[in-house]
Amino acid sequence: MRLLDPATRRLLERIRLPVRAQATAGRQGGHRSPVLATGIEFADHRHYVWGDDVRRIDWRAFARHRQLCVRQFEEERDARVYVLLDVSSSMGRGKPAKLDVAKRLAAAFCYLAMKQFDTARVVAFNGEAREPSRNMHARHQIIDLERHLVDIDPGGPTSFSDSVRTFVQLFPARGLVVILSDLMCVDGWDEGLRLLGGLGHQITVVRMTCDEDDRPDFRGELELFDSETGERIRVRMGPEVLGAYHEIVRNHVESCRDMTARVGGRFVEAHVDRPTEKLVRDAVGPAEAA
Amino acid sequence: MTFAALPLWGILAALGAVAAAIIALYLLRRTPRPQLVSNVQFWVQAVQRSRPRWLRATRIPLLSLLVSLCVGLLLVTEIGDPRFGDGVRGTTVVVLAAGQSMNATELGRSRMERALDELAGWVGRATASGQVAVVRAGIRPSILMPLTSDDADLTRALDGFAADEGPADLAGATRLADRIVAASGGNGQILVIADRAPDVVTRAPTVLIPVGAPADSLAISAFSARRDPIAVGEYAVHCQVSSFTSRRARGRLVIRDREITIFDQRFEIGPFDQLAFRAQGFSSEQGELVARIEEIEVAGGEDALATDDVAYAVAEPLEATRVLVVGQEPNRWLDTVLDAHGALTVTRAEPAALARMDASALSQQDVVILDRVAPPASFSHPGVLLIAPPDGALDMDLGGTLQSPRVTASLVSHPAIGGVRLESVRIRRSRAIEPRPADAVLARSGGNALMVARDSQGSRRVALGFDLGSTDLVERVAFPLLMHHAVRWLAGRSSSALLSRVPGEPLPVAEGTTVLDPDGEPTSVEAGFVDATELAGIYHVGERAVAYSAAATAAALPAAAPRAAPSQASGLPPLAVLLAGLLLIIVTAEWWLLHRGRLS
Repeated sequence: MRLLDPATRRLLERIRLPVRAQATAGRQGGHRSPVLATGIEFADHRHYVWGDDVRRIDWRAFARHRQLCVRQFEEERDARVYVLLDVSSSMGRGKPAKLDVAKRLAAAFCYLAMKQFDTARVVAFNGEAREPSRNMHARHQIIDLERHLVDIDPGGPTSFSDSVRTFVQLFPARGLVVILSDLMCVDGWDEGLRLLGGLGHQITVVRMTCDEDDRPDFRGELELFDSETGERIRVRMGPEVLGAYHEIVRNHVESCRDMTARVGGRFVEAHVDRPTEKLVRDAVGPAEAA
Repeated sequence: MTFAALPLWGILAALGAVAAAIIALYLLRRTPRPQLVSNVQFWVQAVQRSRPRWLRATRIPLLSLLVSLCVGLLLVTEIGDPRFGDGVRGTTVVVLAAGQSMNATELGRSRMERALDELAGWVGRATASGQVAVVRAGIRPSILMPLTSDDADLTRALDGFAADEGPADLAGATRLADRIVAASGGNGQILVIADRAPDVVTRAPTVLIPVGAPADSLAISAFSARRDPIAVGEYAVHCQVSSFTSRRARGRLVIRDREITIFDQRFEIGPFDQLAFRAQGFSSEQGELVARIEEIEVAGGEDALATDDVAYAVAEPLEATRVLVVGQEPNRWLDTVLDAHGALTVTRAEPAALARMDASALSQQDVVILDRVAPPASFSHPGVLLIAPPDGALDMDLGGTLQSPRVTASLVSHPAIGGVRLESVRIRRSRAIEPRPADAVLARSGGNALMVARDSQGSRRVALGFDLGSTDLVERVAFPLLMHHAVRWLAGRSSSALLSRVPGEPLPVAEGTTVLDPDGEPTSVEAGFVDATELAGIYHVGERAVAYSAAATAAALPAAAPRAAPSQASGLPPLAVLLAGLLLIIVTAEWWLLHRGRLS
């Protein structure tokens, strides 16, 4: 099964996945890094100190200023792209299922990363981080990634904070963390996002939404079952309850959006009804020519 | 209070069933449907947040159930057409008056239209709880609609319905309704929709539903025509107009013989007065007379009934009659009368000549008058008038001689005297006639018969026990009439229609005769009679015309006093209206309190 259709692939070929300098890794790559060392792009001068490579002395500046200066260059490094994919039971809701759309977005992010020789990895999570894919660097590995994603089934409850703790233990290196989740869990998001932000990760939260979550059209006497925990509640559905639900969900999403912004990340909502191309364009952010 | 005429257990069962149905529906409505959601915690918070603040709001479902119960029970009650007062369960028989007076018009609507509206309403209500029959109280009571539980049958039964042009036999119809109620088990009521109360005692309770108010009416109360015995081809018409109103009125009386107007006169009549009009017509043929009051003006009112403004009569055709008068000596009184009669051909003979006459000569005579003579033994004739016959003449048994007998009674309805009253006639001396059982005594003095008519074995006899010279009858105007009718009857002529028949009276006709009703439509003849004579007008029996006129039954328009029906015995508004109002209030309150954005 192919998660990325040709149209999406053509789109992905035209755009780049921007990664902040602070989130880059240690290997040479295509992203600007905060490290000034050998490189191509000139960054600055500094006074020569004993031990500096004499080849880097700018003799023209010495002739002009009668001081020994050394030229510094921005070091371009690669990036690690972690896609945290929510595979809890709630992601199986919606038409199409939120998880199916999230898998396509995960494949798209990974494809973009592999296209620019970054390291991509998909980490599924529900109660904890599980089933991480292996590192992938080349775009031909997209086939393995798609196979890996297809084999993932939804199940279990969501615990984002526990999952993040597990994740940071497994993968301490900084990178771009793309969180694909419906956020349909009341707690744990602030703590998890704060932890990721504190570790210097660049965070992008893509909230998978569907009408059932945002604008449910329930009527009458209902017994609601929790798709993750099996918990049930009996509700006489009416405009007041629906209004209150809508307000609560909206507040929860806004809270997550605020926390994401607070840790310097991007927050995007992706409705499952929208075409994959649009979802990818929105999720990746402002287009950057390849 | 009654409810669909059901017993108490029936009412409770109906209400219980409805309540059970509502509760079942409520429980079904309250049975939740399973719905899978992403995370139920959000819904928990939403329910907690949307929980009503006010105390009793948590009881809204229960209140909704109670309101639903109330609404349902009220609806059932409303459908049951509850009414204040006592009702009668079982069979309802409606007696619908269909007499002439029901055609009276008041304020643009006839009594019959009002009665039919009442009838439809009562039948609709009564069929909801039992069986209903409708008895038509026309000239002859009949069942208009048999017992049924389907009110749609009424529409079919009323197809072509019209009131008769004669008096309604309300008592007979009510008795018929009583028998229907008794035959259906005896549990029921009789509703009489009429403009007067039936004067009859019934076993089932009878309720009068009056229609009609006091109304003014002018009517032709008498209308007759007869041939003038002393004027060939002429006939005299007598018409009487009566006022059945306390107001002065005027009008125009027009009498026509077919298309020929023989009388046209305007008149003015006082309250409850009568006017008599006389007219002459000339025709040797049968006269078909119609009298009509036109251009009626009632001071401060209007003529409510149109059907009594018309009357019908027939003047019999002039037919030549041969009369043989046999007597010892001329009777100047008799001769004068017979000679003056334009249609009679009189031959006189002495008794000896009579003895010489053979049967063929006698058969040429229509009537033989034996004036104080006895016929020979071989004498035989189908029509003989005997004046002061001797003992044993033509099997007439005579009694003793009566001195100055006074006529105490006369059979005016017999065609042989044609309405001539003989009570004031003075007679000096007469022989009493011993009548046979089949004889009709035309005039009597106490227990003695003075004048007898006999109709047996194809021969007719009229015998006068007194000589014409010993009575003042011959000096009276009645004498030519008496002789005229006697000769016609003896000659076997059809009876002169002095008085029209009353609508509804069966019309005897010979088998195979074609009978046309006043509209010119053929009428069926059953067992020698035409029964469908409810329409006033002139019926044609072969070549003969017979008038049916309601003039003889013309009377003031009845108007029963309005009386509340049992269903409206209470002074309160109809219970159905009260319940409907209560229902509306409850539904509005429920919407306002419970459903206005609070419950879906």
